[in-house]
Amino acid sequence: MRAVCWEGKKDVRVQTVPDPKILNRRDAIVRITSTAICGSDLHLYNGRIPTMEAGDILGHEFMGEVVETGSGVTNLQKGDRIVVPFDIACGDCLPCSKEFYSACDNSNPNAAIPIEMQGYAGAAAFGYTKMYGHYAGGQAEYVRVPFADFGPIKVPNGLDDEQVLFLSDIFPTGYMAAENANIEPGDTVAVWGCGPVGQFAIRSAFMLGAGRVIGIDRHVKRLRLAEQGGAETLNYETTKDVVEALKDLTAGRGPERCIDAVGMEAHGTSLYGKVERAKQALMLQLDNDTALRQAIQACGKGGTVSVVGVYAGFMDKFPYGIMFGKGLTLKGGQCNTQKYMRPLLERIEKGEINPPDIITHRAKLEEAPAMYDKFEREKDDCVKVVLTP
Amino acid sequence: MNTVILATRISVSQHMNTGPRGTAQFHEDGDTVRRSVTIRRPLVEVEQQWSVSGIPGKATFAQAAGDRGVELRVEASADEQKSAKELFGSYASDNPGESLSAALRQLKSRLETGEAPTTLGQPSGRESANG
Repeated sequence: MRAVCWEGKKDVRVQTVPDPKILNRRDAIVRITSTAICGSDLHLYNGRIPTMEAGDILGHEFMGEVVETGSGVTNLQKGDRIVVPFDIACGDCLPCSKEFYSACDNSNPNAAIPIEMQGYAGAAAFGYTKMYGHYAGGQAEYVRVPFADFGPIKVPNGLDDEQVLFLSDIFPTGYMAAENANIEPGDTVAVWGCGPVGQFAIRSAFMLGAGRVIGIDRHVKRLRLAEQGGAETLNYETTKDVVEALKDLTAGRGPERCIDAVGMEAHGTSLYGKVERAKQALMLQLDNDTALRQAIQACGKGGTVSVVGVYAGFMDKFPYGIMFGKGLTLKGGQCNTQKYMRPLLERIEKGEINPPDIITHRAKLEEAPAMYDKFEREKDDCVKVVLTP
Repeated sequence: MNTVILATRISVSQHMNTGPRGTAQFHEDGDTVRRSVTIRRPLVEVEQQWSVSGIPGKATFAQAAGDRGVELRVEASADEQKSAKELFGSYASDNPGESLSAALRQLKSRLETGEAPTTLGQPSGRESANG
């Protein structure tokens, strides 16, 4: 089969590789019909996350048709259309019993690596590093899905791929960001990052009762998409001070809820932001906390900061004193995707949201290297790329 | 070198059915490794599977607080643990503590899910590069 393989920093190639096969009884093999490039893939593309190996197959946002099942899979059969959650969970362990699927005890065969590096192991993910399980990803013609009897959901007739593909990751992630923000009716919510996850966070915030949502980014296309989703917007490249601007927009209170949908590769145009990027470039630190720091500084007293932007390591000079003084709640984490897929599918079926609105580029799998470059360099108003094998 | 770590006395509420536990102790030295895992299966099942697992070491079992499963603790000599590596192949290291941890994780996975997670035999571009 053909598959998109990571070959090094800023080097992805579509290669011919062996087809996947059933390895465990709870596996399924899926013929992929649609797959997307995620912002998290760019962390790998940019060489920021350790333990990738040349030849690893990328991709964790995908869906398709079941072609084979292991003996332990009785809820799926050949021909079923399914969407697969990006994080792999068994459904049986203690974290899974509490819907904390991103912390599954049993899906990572390489758990010893994250335990050694950071003291714990969470769930594995498709198409990511050895530390995260080293599972072959779904930017390919076929993929092996472990615990297929638990994670994937069937797609009802009448919904095309683009309407449901983002249930694999970014829609549940944006929704969880809004849910974790503890939004109360009428709250003002600020969202750092109007990329795909931020777009779904904005829309989800309104679903959960926000009165105002303010989207923060620098790309005009992303800001316009945010406005299409009902948000007011701030362009941080033309705003002298984002924190002061948010205070002014809320007459001194600050937004009650702040969502960081940016993560470790924040840009930041302030002197602080430039210093943080220099430290990243010199490998003095892994995470750039510009967006998170602004969120903490801007958030209203007693408010909540919700973090779904990906962070990988440690931060320098984290403003915990401000958090403590304002009595903020900080909540973050990888998405417990399986918890949200069915409820959000219902919202799609009811017409409450139209996920394809955020797609800006469609291409064939063979064009993946060019699409990665375009996505990473934010060329051609690229916001979200969907590939078809 | 002996390393003995003593925790402060833990007082336990009257309505927990485990009763007061006394001073917590964790003891591990260079010749002995001690590792533990919580398994979300009935105690009799965990005990039975442990008995046929082939993992070397002395095991104790306890119900985890809050109905969280069975706490399995294993203490073994470092020499015994090196043989655990052969039980599960390439993911083990030569570190005896890590070998025991990996063996216990596999036991837990098999009990809770019916299988151990694996990626051995999956495709990659490395096969493509090697022809």
